[in-house]
Amino acid sequence: MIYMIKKIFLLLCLSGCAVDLAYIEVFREGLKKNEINDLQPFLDTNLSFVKATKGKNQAIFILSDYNEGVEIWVGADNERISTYKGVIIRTSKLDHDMTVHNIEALQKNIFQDNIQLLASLSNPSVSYLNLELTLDKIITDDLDCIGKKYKYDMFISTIDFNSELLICISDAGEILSTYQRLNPFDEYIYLEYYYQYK
Amino acid sequence: MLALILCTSLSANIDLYKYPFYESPSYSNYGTLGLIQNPTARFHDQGSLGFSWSHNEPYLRGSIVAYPFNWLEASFQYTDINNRLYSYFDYFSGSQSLKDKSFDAKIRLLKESSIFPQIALGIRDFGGTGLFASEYLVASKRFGSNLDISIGLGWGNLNRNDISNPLTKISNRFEERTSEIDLGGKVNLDDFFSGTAGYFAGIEYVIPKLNGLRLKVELDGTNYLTESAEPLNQDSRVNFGIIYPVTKRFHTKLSFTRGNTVNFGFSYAISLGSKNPTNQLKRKRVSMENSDLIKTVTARSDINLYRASLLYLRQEDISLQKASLNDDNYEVVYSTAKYRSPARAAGRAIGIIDQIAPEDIKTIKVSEVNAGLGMYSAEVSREIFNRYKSNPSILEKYIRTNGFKFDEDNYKFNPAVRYPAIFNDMGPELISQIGGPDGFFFGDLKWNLDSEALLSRKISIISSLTYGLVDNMDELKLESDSVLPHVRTDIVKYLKGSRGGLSVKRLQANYYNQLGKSTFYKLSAGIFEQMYSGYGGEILYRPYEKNFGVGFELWKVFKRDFDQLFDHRDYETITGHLNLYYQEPRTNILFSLKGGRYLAEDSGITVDLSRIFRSGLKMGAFFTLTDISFEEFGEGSFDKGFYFWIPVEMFSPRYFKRTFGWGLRPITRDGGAALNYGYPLWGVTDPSSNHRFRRRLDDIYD
Repeated sequence: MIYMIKKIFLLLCLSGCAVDLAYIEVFREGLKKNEINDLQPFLDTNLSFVKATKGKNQAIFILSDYNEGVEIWVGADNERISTYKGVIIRTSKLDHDMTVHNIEALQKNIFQDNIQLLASLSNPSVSYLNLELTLDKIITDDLDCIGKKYKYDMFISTIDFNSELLICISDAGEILSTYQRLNPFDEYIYLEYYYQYK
Repeated sequence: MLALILCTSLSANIDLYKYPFYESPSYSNYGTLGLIQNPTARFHDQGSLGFSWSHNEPYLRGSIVAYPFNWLEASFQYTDINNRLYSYFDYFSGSQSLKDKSFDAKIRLLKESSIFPQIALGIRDFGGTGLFASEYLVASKRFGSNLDISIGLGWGNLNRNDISNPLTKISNRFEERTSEIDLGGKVNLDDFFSGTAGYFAGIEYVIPKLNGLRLKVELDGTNYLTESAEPLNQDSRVNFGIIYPVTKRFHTKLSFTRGNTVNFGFSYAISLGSKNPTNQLKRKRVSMENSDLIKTVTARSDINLYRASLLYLRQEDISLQKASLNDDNYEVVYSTAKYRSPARAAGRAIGIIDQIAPEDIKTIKVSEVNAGLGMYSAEVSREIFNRYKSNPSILEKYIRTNGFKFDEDNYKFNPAVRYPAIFNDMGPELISQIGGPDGFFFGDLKWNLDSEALLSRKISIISSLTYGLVDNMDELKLESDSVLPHVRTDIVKYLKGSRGGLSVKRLQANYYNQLGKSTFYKLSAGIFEQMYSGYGGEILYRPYEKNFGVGFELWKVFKRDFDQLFDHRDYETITGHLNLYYQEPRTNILFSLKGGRYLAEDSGITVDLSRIFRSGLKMGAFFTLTDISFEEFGEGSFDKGFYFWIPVEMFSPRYFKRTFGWGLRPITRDGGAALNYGYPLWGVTDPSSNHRFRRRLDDIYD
């Protein structure tokens, strides 16, 4: 019988990974939220804006155009979000963009009934998908919403994608916030609206 | 035809939604891409790193897998074989189970097309002890978006479903396989593809509507009668498994193998080769609101411009060293510890000067220095720089870059620098030893203080002090059995000697200078590393416009005492090498050849191949052959290893020059051992490369 005496001297030297405190700071920075806590500079501009939150990142989009109820919000790197009554109907220069092609269906039925839309997604790109918005319930006692909260179930059958759309509206009819997910590979986007001109 | 292409493309894209991550290949229990036990012909993207862990009784296996190219998978496996003792000598290894390590490689022979499968050739456990040695040829073909079929031919431990070896029709030498398990390290070419062959096959199926859950079924090719240290019982040759992709990068796996064993594990793979692989929101260059006001002030006098440059460059962590205004040309010299990319550093500097300099300045020239050595100059017309912000590729024609000899007396503005300038970093450090006969894990947690004192631009002292906090190194017993001078194999004594107190890892004084634009030299003295102090120097010829370098280094070294303070042992020698470097511009592979005399007074060469990706990730491997025999070298036969260097800025919104690295040398022996001194010239002069500047020119507007 052969005895295998293995003098394996495996020096897995982690000294090359001496973790100095600067690295810890870097990793902490990479993980922490990129929050915008001070909105006063934006309020001082007297322009309407939305604060968009996705994951750990926040960004401000300024209202740049308004046309027949469709609002176009522009970000620091020229990203654009178009909304109708708080519902995101078109984006550009985000990680995953989407476009709703039949806005008139939204204009006709929002807050009243179920809605059938036709939408395209990007990254990866697919076009003309049937998107169903089914009104699930209207919540009036939500502590996070001073007004009414409309909860829609969103379903794209072709790619078997389920998510929900929440719209918070004040008693005066002003959109306060929305919460929706545009793409199965993306996170929910939370928009908080700060109207300063109507 | 166009409609057909579009339909096909859209259909494929819909499948990306229906079968999430189906294009992301999965790992086998063996630790490389594959089914359950069998390999497949799949690869991750180049620049990817992977880690896999599986409990596949009696094996616990951890694997590190790298993809330096789209067609190459290279991996290191570390296996705990818990049905076998490390040795039969209790005094030597106690009850510790057997540990095995191995290297594997797989190359792609044919890329998959609509008609042909992807074909790959692989070798398992080469350069190791041979417990898992096998070779294979495998083909994988995807049908639709959710079915992947693989079929292959194996030799060695992959010949369970045996057939006659087809290669024997070519030569008789493929008939016999020695299957010798030895001390390891050598590559036994004669055994490759020899002996009885065997076939294997399997499928991977992405189940619809289950968030990417995959089912794997295979006809196992593993010969459990010959694999590893002890034969394993196999009740069935068909294995079943499932893979659940928690995310695109992180997979969990569960399988049932041999008809009698449940296995589980996980894997993580990340692609780090692209420019911003983790999609960090990087901090943009600051746009100055009061630029016009600043320009009116700087227009009044040259000194205003110099001082404004000093201030505003400093805000971007760019340290102005010198400046000169000559008519409509403004030149600045700077150093930076922040920007890895020379083009980004230059772009930041030019962008700031453009915002503060009066409009009558037409041309901006920026030059970077490091350790008082001129790295490069970049000169561009201000109007051109602003015109092509949306299309940096056009800028390439107009920006002039050159090598640069830093002459301190040539400038009109010379901001005073207070010397010495001292920089400190501190933090925890873990020294570890894994897998030795004395025990599985030995660690020494230390507190580390790294300092750099600049006595002038060209003279610095770098130091690294450690203080031991807690360790279990006293249980290490293994003595060196090397027949060569113990230049490295007294490692246990050094590990034990530095525990529980202060030790000096490095205390090295450096003097840098350059002769002309392309020739750099350095003189150093002091404590270079854990085991050696001494004095010496190196010289490097590295022309800016070219992709090669030639260097020479010579050191007189003294072996340090085991407590790593200021005493020495009775060994000294002279070591020196001629160094050749070539950076292949298309693939960015760096070929390094080092030839000369090593610490144990053996002579030979070290070959180092590495690839640097767009992100700054560097992965490489090396081996050393000298004039000592494999037997004199001992276990492992010759020195070899691999390493990764990952830029810290990949994981942060900020920019950093720092990298963190990890390397593995399977065995520490005395042959081919080189001095490990700080700040070699090739690294210090890293920005001094036109190819490097131009390759990342799109960073200039970041």
